[in-house]
Amino acid sequence: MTDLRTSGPTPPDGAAVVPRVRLRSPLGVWPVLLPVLAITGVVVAATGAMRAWPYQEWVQTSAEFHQQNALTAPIAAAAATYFAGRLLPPSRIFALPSATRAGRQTVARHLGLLIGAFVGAYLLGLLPLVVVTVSGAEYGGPDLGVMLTGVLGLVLATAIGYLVGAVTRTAMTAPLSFVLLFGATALGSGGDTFSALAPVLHIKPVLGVVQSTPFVVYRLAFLTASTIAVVWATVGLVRRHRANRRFRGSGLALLPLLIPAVLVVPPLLSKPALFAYEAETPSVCRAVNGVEYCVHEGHRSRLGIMIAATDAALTRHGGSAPFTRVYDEALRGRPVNGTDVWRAQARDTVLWVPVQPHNPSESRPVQAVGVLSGLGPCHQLRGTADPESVRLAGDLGRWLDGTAAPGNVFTGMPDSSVQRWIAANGDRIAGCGLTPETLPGQ
Amino acid sequence: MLSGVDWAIDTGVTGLLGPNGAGKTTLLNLLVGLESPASGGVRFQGSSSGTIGFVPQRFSLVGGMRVVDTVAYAAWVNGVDRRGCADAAFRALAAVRLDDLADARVRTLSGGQRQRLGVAAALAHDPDLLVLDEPTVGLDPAQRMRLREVIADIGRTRTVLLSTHLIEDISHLCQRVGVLAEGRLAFDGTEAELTELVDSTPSSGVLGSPFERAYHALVAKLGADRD
Repeated sequence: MTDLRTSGPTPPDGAAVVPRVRLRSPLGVWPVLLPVLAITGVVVAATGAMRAWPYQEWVQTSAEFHQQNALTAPIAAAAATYFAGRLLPPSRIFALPSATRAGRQTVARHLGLLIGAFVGAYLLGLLPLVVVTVSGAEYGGPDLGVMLTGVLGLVLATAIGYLVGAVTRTAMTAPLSFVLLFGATALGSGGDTFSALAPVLHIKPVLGVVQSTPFVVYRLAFLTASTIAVVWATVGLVRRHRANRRFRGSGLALLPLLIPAVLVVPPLLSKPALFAYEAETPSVCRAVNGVEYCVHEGHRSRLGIMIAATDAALTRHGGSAPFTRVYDEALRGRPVNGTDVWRAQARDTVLWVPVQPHNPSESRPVQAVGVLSGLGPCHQLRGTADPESVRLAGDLGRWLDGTAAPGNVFTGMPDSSVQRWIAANGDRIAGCGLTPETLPGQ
Repeated sequence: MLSGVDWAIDTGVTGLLGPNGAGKTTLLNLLVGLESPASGGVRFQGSSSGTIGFVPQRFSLVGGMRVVDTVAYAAWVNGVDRRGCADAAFRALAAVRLDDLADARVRTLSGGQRQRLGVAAALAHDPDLLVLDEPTVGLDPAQRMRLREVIADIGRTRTVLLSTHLIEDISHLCQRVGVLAEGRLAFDGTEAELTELVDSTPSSGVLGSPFERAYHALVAKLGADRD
């Protein structure tokens, strides 16, 4: 925390206790410390679930730097409005327009304090997640451009809040700033339309995907230009401040805001692609019992787990599976072992498995079982599938998964008997057409 | 609109009198740099640059701020080096006799103490000229007397321009007086000379003290002389 006090003054004669002067934050410590605590607290709390993930990915941690703007940007804006609304009204005895430092120096000093404190609090809140990612991520590194968009988002929010306080000349509009910035940051969470303009995205990238370079560069440029424009407008406004003449010269001072107003147009007319596949997608592969298993380099430690789970289901199945490759979804969009399996006809022989940092789903052969038991086709039929067929597919899936309970129709049957039945009813299984009459022993 | 105002003031408290619309506010705005003259200018001991401390008639404070922080921050805003602000604040508070309340919150001050705090804030950067616009308006008699004592003390070593409607402020504080009437400096002299001129002017109106009635008659006469 920044030391908000200056060194002590020379004691006047006869004074018993000489108070220290709070020059940097004349409103006292709390108007800065409270939002600092709130920002750090919100970020620490909101990233708690991520920190508890069994695996970490830099691409997600980097994105979290802007995703955490959702609540912190409104907090920073509201606090800045309060600060400006208290200190900037030209009727204040210490804010008369005739003062030497009224304008640029005052705005620079205030915003320097607020931005420094808020960005520091923000980064402090993200630090535990970064530490966990440093120790837990198996691939890649921080995406500094993406991280910077989050920091700039917070800086811009602070500057906007400060401008609101300068325009309205009252701290009472702090809630207005909160709502305004909450709405602005939430714009991007509704879809792609405003994603280039608002810091918070409606979807986060995962391993194998990165935020596209044009998208990140545009966001950096937009946030930087907007911040400069807002600060420029604020300085002009403060210099033109006159007590009892509310709007004189304000229009002219706000002209710099035309810069962000113009910059918002291009991405609204032509939405930029948010994400792109990694330029290089290194993979780790291994063949077991005729099936090729591949994961992204960043999921190297999960390959063995995925093989063990899927191979067990295939062994229990006993027959020929409709897939010969089991690939990590992080490999989509790029050639694996020289073949663009995502686009090639070979895609039908590939089973894509999501390998997620928060949910080690590869430890259970969910995708394989979905194909082998017919549960996948049943789900594709949605509500039109026969409920009895869906129930039987579910029972078969749990049997293949090794989690069949006593009520399961396949419990207690010899594996060879079920395997023969599977081989004889392949078409029914693939078409979600199982009936009780087709069961072994019926 | 001001025209042909050629006025030099020196150390001490100089009063500025004039009826509404006489140009007092315009003159003060020119002095503190809020307005620019079409021609002419303000000079400080022969130089075009000087520092001014200004206490407007109406100003606001932040109730939650401490007294010393208010003055120290005012000192910084007015150009004092950061490291010098604390000392400047305590010197200014001592000058207005508020140093014992340095640690108090502004909201706890009385009206008179707030007015003195305003003077301290205007004084903290050690200005060449201290301009006070109607500083005693709205104060009770005791507070007004206390503030006059403070202003008189400051005027012993500084140049103070006191704009006021109150004849008592002039008679208690000012060694010199200027009277603005219809945009021009209609009178420039000592308080005794003004009193003499007022005494020789037939009074007008029915309300107010004999001095006030004579003064208003004088202002009317000075304005009329111009035509």
